Amino acid sequence: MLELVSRGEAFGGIDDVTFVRGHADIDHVLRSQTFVPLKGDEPVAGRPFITGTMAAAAGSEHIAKRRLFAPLFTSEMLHYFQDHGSRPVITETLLEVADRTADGDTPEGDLVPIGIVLVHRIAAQIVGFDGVVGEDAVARFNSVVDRIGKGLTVEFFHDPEHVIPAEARAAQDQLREEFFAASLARRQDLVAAYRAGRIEKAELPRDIITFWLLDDRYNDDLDALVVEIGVFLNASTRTTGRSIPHIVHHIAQWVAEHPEDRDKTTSSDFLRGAISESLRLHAVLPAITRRATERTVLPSGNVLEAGEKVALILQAANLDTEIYGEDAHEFNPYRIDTLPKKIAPWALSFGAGAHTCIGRRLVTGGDWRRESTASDKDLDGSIVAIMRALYEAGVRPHPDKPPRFYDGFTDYDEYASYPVVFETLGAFADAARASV
Amino acid sequence: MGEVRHRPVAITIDHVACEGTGLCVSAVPSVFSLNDDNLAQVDLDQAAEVPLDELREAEFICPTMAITIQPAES
Repeated sequence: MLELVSRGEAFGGIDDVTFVRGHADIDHVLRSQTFVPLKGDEPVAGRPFITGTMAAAAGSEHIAKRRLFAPLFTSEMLHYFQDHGSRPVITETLLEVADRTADGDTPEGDLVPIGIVLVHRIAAQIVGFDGVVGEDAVARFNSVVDRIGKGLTVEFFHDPEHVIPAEARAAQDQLREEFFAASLARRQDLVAAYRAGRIEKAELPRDIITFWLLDDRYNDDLDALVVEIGVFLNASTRTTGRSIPHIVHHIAQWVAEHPEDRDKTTSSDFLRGAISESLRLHAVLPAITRRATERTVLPSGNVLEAGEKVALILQAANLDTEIYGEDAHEFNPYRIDTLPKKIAPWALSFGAGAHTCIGRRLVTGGDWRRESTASDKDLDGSIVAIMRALYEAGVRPHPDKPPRFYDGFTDYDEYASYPVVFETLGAFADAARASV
Repeated sequence: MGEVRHRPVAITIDHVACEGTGLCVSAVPSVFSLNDDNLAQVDLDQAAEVPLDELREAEFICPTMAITIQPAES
């Protein structure tokens, strides 16, 4: 029996926190306006990396930030990234794998770094970083994002020795100097030209840095922009990057048991179902933290008192048998067909309510429900585009090299290494080069 | 989808697309609320009292593009 609420729990740097595990209770908290983000306040060690950002803001400040970034996630922008962002970046990354393969060898690689490189290249476009080109630059960029990520997710590291705030601060400085400064300068010139009437607004880049510079409420505070970018990069890259190996792993097991689905791995419908289940079974965050501002009775009848610190345990909620059925622990790419409208196929992995991940549509695309009449229902997001390209290149778990999980120093559910082979990468590369 | 019309604006809330994030409620609380199914609903009488630009904040901020607000046809 799932313990829906337990008190006196702790995460790194957050003591006396109440764990909430039921799907209905968590959904209620996330949608309620009487809970505010705890992040940005606790843990104290994480403040320099998240305080003041959209993720940590509440009320009118949160709305102002959402408004600032909303133009990045319109359907028009999603179409743009689908055509000009995701696919070219994925193709470029897979061609690099092909180029590293000796004649006659089966192409192989590690899906963890490959996935990270893929998503970092896409994220760099969205932020507005011009210099993340070439494998070396992407590797340095990955290192910077990873170290900043340790600072802003300090509560999920079991051993604080693994997290050195100075290391994360140094990474913030490196981000500012190596990737931010030149991109900022170019955009400041362009925005100045726009304000002087020398260029049209349509000629401006459409990225986070540019939108920030256009907003008179925020554009003087470039330190805040650097912090905001650190959060955005981690949220956008880690979600997808962590999920890619899980998706490949589950699909490999599924098609071994259901060979009739082996040819469906490049179809949107099948991939959407498989991606949903992987996101549900492997929540991309261990928990979302909140503080209650009022006494609240949860749908389960449990009571949270004003001021209580709450950790919403997403993995527990995503496996709630009341919502997902008695086989909730199992991977079923066709579960998406059976869920009621109110239940997101990816469960609570992107949150819910006002703080729903702002980039969710960029990752997933439009409305995935089978009977949907939504205008964006055929729009695929970056994760679908990535998975389709990987399967076009014939991705399979490596037959001789087993995957390896992280050794338990964090609460994250992620692989440290996931070796794969690409059985049809040669044909994929030939087709890609021919189309240039 | 349920369309409601009122002067001076026509407000459409696409209940297929609405995911009940409540951002419209946060943006214009006097006009938008969530029903028992966590779907956005609009108070047309209140909407008539709010300037169009302010109403459009809800349209703009909705992450699933579920809200459409236009000047009403005469």
